[in-house]
Amino acid sequence: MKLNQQSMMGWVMHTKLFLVMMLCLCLLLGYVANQYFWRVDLTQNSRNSLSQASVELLARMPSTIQVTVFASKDDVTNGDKFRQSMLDFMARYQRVKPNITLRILSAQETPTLAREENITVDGEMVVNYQQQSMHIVPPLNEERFTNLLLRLSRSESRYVGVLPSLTQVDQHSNEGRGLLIKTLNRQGYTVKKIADNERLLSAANLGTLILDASMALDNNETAFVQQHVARGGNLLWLVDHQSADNLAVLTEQLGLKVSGSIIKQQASVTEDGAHSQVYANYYAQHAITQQFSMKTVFSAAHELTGKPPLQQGWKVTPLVLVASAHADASQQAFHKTSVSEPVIVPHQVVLAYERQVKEKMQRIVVIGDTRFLDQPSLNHVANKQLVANIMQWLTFDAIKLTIKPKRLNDVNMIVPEQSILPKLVGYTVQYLIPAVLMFLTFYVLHRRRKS
Amino acid sequence: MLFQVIRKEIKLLFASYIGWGMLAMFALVMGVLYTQSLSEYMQVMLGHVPTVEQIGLTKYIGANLFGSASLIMLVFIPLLSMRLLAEEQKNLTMAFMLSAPISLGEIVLGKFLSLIGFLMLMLVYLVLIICILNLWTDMDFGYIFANVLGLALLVSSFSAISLFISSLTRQPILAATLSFLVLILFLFLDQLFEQQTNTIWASLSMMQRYKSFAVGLLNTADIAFYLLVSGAFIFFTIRTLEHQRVYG
Repeated sequence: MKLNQQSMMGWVMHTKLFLVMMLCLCLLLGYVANQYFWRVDLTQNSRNSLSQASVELLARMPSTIQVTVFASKDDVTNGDKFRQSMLDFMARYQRVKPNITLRILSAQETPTLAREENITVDGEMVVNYQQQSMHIVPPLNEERFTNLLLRLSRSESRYVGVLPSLTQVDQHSNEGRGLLIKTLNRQGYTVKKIADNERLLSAANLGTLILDASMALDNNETAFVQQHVARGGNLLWLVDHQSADNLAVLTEQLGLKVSGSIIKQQASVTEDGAHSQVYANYYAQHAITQQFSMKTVFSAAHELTGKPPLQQGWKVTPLVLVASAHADASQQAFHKTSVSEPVIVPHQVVLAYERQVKEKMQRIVVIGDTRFLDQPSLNHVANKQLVANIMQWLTFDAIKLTIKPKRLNDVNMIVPEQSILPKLVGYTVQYLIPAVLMFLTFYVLHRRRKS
Repeated sequence: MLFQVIRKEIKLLFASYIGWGMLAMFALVMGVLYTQSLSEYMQVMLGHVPTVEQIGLTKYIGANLFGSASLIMLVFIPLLSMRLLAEEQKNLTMAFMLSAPISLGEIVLGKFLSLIGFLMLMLVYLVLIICILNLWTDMDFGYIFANVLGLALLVSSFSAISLFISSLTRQPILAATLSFLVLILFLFLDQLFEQQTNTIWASLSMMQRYKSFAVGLLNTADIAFYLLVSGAFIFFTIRTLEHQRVYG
């Protein structure tokens, strides 16, 4: 065939058209492959896949989940892959739910943000969902993280009432009870003061009531509290001896006695004899204080004794004991302002009550410090955590999903001590094979130069 | 004819010190990483190194070796591919090949497959040294298979891109440099768009696509991506050579 200008033009057009069509085909195939794909986890026991419970939960969470991790940077030279393992952990969730955003920060590089978020542990995660926020610390596993998501996922906010109605409820301020409200809001609770007109309406729905004894209750409020408890409602009660006297019926039901004096520790009394705060670091084995090891601070702690009448059916647990660590060191470690004799036993400052009412459990926590929910008190991480744990317990917010961890078959390496095979493999891979190949390289080079 | 082209190219690779030298370098780097990862894993097992959750030996050692192998390929492939077409053009041997009774498709495919075949030797060596650990623990072969497949697909895409760039110039060094830069761009495209992980550019990142293989997952979308990239660039290479045959 003779080539002329026309046939050449035709050939060029043909090839260009073919090129464009091929490109379009590639793009189309790529698009289709991205839209309709099939994914399979080939690993042992499908270790990259989430359990069905987690997948179903994520399907019920349509909004974006924002995860911020405060983790130190990986030192790859030392084999430190802490951040990477966090990314791998979160990738499992991101594969199921692509709108999980992950941000990794270093607490050293962003100290202000870390302080604002109250970060205490390397690797601590802050998970935000629909303006609620919760923290989780390593070690991570699917059960813990999924249960955290479960708590965040509940669309209906848990309603917590506050009495008396004079209590400041301003979630935008840290003053007064502002920090408490803010903290509870971020944990998914809706906190409202119970005004007169709402009282009857709210009484039916209210699960948990925070009773703040720093201000006096009026008669209606006192009646409301008694009705709430009689109905089987839960209660967080900040108490001193005066407020206990004002609610005599409730005090009697709970068999509660509140010391008239404030507990003091030797270490907390200043040189001029003035009183300062007391520390607690002994906690009972209870759902609230399980694995709790931080030091909580009480600024006006009263000793509590709970001996409820048998017919009431209450089971009482002394949750927090003040200065128990010093009890055996010296009897002078404790004294009360109005009692001349030194007290030699640790003081109970927080009590947890629980009983069965019809088909549900009723729970009450009494704190013998009316300032425990104040802003200075909640600035202590331990206090904040204790309050969070108490609220979780009162609102039945404990773990609900049980997810078995996936078994790893290759986690243990059993190398017989007498066997020389491991060393042989190591030396062969590290020295022998590279040396042989290096020798062959120089041999070929030498032969080529000679030829 | 295709088989003859592959055999000729493989023979050429093993007749040169570059091929042996690359094998030696690969074995050396992998050997060092292998023993280092094993001793690190012992530290993890003893609890000296913090981990977010429990990790198996296969994943620990596999992540180190396969991850490093992908970066080594980033350097090796441009160096190997530069001689496949650019050097042939520089030495004026390309004209003989183009005039031989063999189709352009066979030439390009033969060269491509010979390069892949040579690089697969390295992968086989890598798999062997990892699988030998099965003597002392129950290795996760599914994880290893996913990683090998991912790495093979990555290598195939790298080779096709490098071969195409090698067909564009008569200067082997320029071809190697250009290939290296383009591969880096393709590999870390997602890093350029770190803030927007769902952009179309980020989805073109080879490293982003490799991540699912690296954790032991097979995703048909990722497999299709690598096959399409390889196929497209082989096609471009054939068209480029065809253009050269017609216009000289």
